[in-house]
Amino acid sequence: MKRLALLLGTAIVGIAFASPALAENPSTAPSANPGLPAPNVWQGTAYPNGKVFVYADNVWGSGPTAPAGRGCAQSNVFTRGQTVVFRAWAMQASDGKPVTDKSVKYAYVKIPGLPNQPLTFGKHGKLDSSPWFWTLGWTVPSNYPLGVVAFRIVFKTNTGVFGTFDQSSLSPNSQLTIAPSL
Amino acid sequence: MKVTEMAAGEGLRTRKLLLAALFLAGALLLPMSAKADQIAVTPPAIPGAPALPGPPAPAATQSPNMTILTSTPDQGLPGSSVAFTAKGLPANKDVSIVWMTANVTYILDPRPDSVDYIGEKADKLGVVLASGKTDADGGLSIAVPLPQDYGGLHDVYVVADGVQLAKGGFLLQKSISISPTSGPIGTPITITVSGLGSPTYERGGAVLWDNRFAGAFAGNWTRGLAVFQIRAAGPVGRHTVDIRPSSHTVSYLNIEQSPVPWQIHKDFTFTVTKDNGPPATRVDWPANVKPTISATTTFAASNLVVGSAAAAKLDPSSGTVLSKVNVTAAGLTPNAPVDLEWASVVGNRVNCAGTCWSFVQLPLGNAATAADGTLSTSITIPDNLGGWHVVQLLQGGKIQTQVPYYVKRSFVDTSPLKVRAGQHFTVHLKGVGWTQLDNTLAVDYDNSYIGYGCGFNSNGDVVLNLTATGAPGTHLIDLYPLLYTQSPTYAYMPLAMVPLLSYAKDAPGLAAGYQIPAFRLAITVVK
Repeated sequence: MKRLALLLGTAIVGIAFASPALAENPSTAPSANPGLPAPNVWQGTAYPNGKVFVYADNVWGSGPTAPAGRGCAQSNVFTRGQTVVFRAWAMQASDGKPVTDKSVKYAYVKIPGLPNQPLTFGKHGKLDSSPWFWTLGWTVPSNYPLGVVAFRIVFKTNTGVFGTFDQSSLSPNSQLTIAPSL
Repeated sequence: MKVTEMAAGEGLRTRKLLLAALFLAGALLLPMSAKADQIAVTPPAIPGAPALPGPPAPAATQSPNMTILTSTPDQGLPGSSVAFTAKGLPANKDVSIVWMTANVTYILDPRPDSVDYIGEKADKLGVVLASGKTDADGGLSIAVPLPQDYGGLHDVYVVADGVQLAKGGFLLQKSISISPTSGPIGTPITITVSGLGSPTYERGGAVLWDNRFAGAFAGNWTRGLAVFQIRAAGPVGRHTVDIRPSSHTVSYLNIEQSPVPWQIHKDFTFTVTKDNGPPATRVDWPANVKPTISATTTFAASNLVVGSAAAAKLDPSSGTVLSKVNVTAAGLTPNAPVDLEWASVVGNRVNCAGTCWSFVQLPLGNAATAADGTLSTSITIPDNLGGWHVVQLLQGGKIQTQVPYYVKRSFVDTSPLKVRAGQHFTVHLKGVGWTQLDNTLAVDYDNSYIGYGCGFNSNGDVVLNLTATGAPGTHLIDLYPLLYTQSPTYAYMPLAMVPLLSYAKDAPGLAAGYQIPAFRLAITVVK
């Protein structure tokens, strides 16, 4: 119940690092920009200073550690040994274009106690219209601390613009949490 | 509005209708959809309640290179020890171990015409659990005793200079016990639950007696530690006491499959050894704590005549209906008559969609001041609604001063005491109130919740109509406080409409001065 109830809690819009107020209204992704999640994609107005806007969530991995039928479903509570998938969409606020593997210098997830975990940009699905986004599958180590995982997602574009996502603004009950297996 | 002339004589039960312009504005007439002014109440000082595990920690920001804090073990009970270790920290640095916890309290809307129960609230905070110092290699190793705190997951940080350097976690486990485990019918059984959580679905619990729902409990003001009593019901033989987790009131029977599986349940066997006949009637009062809300029902400063220097005192300041109370006052007009009035309400919450109750004044008698403007007289508390009322002293038709008085619930009788199975009997009480904190009482028959009684419409007088059941022998009737959450109803109200077993130390009414007891009664079923 907690996992389902927190679907929206984890799938919030991230805010570009040090960015001022962004676009007020969501809109659908234009077809010219494949891989953008629809329909509630924030489309920024042009910001001359150029920021990167990050949207992120967590879903179950589709492997055997996920509960039956939960693969790729959003969640924020996992146990050790289960696979957490970080998903991220990044857009350049200056022109609304997605940040892809062609335009990024690096993209990674910082998980406390671990080296930077690189995100991979790819298509998810077999159709031509399947979305493209950044992912990382992280299998929670058996000795990873319980409680909230204070992770951070970092993007840097080839033009030197940063964008980050962290969950500190979420309710503690909505943050990525490692629970004990009982 | 017109004021009905009062007839002389103390024993006369004539009611005055509202003195609207003088008394209270029309805004105090309560529609069903009254907007609540919610107050997250400050918990009273509850005897025996565990303290906050440490001083509040200042806010800290996350280090971009946060490392791991390892807890060994990472699950345990309060009082056991945990070793926190970390590497890669700044060398030779003074650090704090910050334990993330919460404060949980109740939300009330106290008004002159009523008090509404809105729900619960948890505020997260970090406390400094321990202090330490890293070694020359940036390592940290510190052993800490685990505090008596809310159960469940706790985030733990190593903090220095306002920066969270390392992050760990700990699961504070739940424990449950009962004592004793045998005794005759009517034996008080103390149930102790440690490790109730602070998040919504982890705060409460339910008690089942032979799979019958006896009531709900919580440890919101006692940092997840609930200690309360039920009684051993018959017949002679083995019985099962099952202490269950609960999200709201009743048992959450498969919490093991939920995201919070650590909110365990545990069942015990209690052996009833003998039926010694009905135990003596007992009234179990809650903890006598100082309220943290000063507002009381029927008290409105706007009632008073402007510029009055009068002050009054009641001795005692609480009691049952028909109690005698001494009234002393000073600052009144000398050598002049004084009318003493009792402020109350009349109405109910049944099928109400509009004005549900109104203020009334009941006459308490007359007296006269001395030449120095003082007054000394006595009154009898009306046989009327319980809870908070004010005694008003009027001169010239204007309220010169008013003093709050708390009317306690009282037990009248159970009749008859010996009945056959299937026969009806009654339980009679007085002084039941009208707010959502005190207008009802929950009834358990042999530890099975069978329903509630309400005193609002009957002006505090409650006659419960019950049916005796079961084999010949002693049968218990326990009356518990209940949080009434209808008329009006709010979005989410845990512990609502069921026996509140942990009323003695964890009931929202305690913050508002409501001392609502449990009544322990019994009957004998005969052949």
